[in-house]
Amino acid sequence: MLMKILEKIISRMAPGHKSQDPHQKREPVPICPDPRNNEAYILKAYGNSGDVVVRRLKLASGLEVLVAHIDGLVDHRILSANIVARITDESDVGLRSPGEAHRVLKDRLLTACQVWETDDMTELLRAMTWGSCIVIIEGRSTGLYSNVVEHKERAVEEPGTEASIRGSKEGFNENLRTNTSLLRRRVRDPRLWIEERSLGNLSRTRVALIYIKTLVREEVVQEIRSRLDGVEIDSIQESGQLEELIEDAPYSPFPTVLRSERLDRAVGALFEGRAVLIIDGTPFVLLAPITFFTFLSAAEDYFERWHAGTVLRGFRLAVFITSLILPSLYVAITTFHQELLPTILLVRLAAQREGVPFPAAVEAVLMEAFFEVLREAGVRLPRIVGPAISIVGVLILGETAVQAGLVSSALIIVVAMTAIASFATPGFSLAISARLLRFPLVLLAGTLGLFGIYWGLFALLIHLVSLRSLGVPYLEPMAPTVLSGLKDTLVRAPWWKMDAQPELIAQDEERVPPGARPEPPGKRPPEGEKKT
Amino acid sequence: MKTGAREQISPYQLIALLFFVRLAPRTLVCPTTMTVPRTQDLWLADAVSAMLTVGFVFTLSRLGQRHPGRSIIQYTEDLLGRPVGMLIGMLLAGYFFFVAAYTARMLGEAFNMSIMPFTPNLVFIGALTLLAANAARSGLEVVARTGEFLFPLILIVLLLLLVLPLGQVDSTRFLPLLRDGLVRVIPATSIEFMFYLEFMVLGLLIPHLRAPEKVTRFTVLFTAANGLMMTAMCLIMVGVFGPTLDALGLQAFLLARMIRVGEFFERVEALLLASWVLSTGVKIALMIWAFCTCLRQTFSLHRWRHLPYAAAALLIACSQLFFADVVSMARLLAEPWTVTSVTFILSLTALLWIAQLVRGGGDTD
Repeated sequence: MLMKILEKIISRMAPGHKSQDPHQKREPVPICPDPRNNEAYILKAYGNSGDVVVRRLKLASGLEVLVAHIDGLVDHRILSANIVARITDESDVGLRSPGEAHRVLKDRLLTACQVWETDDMTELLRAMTWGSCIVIIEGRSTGLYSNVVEHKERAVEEPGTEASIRGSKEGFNENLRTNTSLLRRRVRDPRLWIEERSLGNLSRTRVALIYIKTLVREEVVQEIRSRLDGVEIDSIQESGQLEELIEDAPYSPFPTVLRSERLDRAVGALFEGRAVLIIDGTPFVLLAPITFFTFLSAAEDYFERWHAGTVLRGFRLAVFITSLILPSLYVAITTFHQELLPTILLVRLAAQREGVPFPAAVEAVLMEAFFEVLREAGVRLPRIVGPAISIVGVLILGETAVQAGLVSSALIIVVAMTAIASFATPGFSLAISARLLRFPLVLLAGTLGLFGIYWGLFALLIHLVSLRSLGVPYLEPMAPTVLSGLKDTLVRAPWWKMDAQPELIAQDEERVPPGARPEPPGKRPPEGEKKT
Repeated sequence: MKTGAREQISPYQLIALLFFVRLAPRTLVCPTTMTVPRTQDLWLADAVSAMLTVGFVFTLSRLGQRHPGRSIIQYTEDLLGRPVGMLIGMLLAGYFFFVAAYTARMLGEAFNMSIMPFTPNLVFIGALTLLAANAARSGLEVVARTGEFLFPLILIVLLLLLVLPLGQVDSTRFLPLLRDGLVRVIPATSIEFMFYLEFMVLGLLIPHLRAPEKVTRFTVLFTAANGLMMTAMCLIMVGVFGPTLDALGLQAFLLARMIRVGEFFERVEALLLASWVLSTGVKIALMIWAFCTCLRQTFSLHRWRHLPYAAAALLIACSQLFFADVVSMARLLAEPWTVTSVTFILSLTALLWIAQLVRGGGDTD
């Protein structure tokens, strides 16, 4: 209900928004047989930009050939050796007719990896932006273009935002092709399918939809395709933009698509029957469908022994709940339910709060807000002065606030514990949700005590069970209960027990055959005898 | 509100929902103690009513199985005709509405009596009822999944309440048993049975069940297990509180307060408070859904999106108007409501069973 009202308000606020057919195409622009006209058109289209290089070369027979590219996007060695040198080769003196010259150039002379042909000038201009060199022969109304792009990219490095102790140190970078090749190297099977398309009317950002054909559910792929087809925006610069355009619940504070820059995380998702979306220009790929519990798992859960993985997941769930409700519990107990505290602790808390001018709820909201400001400042500030701000913020301001009697020292401990807990949540998007939801929970606790917290949590639960990620219930396998899925949710079962893919996400494929549990030689069945 | 054949629930979700239906009157304000002259006989009322409920649930489940995909209102129309079906539909809607109203009031009173005496109970009732209406509007699947998620967590709290006070149970408090005869336990049994008859919601849930052929087995087994658990809880309360039990308003809360394991595990009542809010929320959501479903099916409504909110507003008002205070609520539930609802539900079930025998020719399985 509230969502609908919000939706209506937002749609009315958007000025002059008119619905457009997403599949609307521009009229093709014909190619002129005169190279001078084409040169003028290209230069005009790019506004005489300094990086646009247009040359008119001559074949040995005297026919003019227009060659154009954008400097900085192409590999000059390939351009010179495979295109320019071929055109200016004196040996092909017999290419007198434009048609023959066009055919020979296309089929024999241009030796760059692939050559495409088109009669649309717009397509040629667009190809130039992708790093292609275009070739138009005098007297022809069709042009050729060949990909001679030069990849200048950041090296494949360890992901900065998702560190791990054990496991691959490879993270994605900003180049889509490098990222797809990284996945190909991990899944050396033709069933890894990659569908590419361009999104953004101006940016024409390349987006790759990647999945393992035999594992992913067809309806999931269809759904992603249809959502991508419906994307109508001028530019896509980061995966977060695309996430907002294709997610299931755009008004929900909870993410229904997972972002990651870890290669092993994306590969793991593919093997679980999920789809991966790579967006050119960002190292953060999108994984879907996902569940709430995906955010509480880390890549190394699967690389450490299963006992450790299980215990760590339990801790992560605990810290997520801590980061969500600890400040509100402090407020509720100190304001309404002092009887829940042991007497000694109650006396100490009362002594600390004596003289504090604000109610506990206001005190908590102020400190939480202050901490958020500090965190934001720490992210934005240059690295050299960052630690100084931390020292000023945490040590000096915190201690001074306590000494001045503005806040109690117990609250400082609560806020610090909450902050540490929020950093321990592996899914950064989920940690952000907890940060946002903490404030209303504190206010509820300040007005209705424990009832307020429970009410807030009940509201969150109702919201969570109604969420879906590409059709998969968000709280699966807890609600609805899927027994096989529980092996990889709050616990991480041993690998020899992970016999099936996630039931509601992937197609029914065997992952580990029965009897994969390792045993000492004496207990093993004889060679050739199959276990059941 | 989302309804229709597409909404399906699993047997596990069904059991979770029924669990919450029975849990609320057992752990919140319980009027049964007012009617038993000897508190040591109280557990007998629970045990006997649970046994009676097994028979009721069996009958209701078999009726549902005979009419696949049809709710109790729809097959009442099939068996007894449209006018009777409409009348039954309206009466059932009123029944579920009243159950939701006293459940909400019980929660409000419980919070007033336990930890927040100065906050008007309207605040608790209003907040939770609106949230429950929102869940009911999202559909049965959402209510069922919420119940399913909470079921194991609240079961753990209940088991803690059953196990941890065992050390404080005094076996002499169970004696003498039936000193005033079995007849004196009948009023308390009727009240407990009245609460168990809230399982009538099963008649609306069975058409949504993913495996309707298993419904009888699941519901009968669950009712028996649930009866055992509730009786065990009653026994613990009698064993711990003894003759003072009838003077206590919130037995479960006081029981939770007494739990102390070593010097570290205590204040279990905070968990019980959580289970109050969450389980009562699920129950009210289910009852609002049942109320709206009854109206929708009786009057063949096509637009019912805002009905749960209207029902919630009415329910908040009625929870205040129907009961002046907790004592009058207990009296109303203990006497007129028990007689009315038990008579209505049992007569309806018997009528449908007889009509089924006459029209359908007996057991076809």
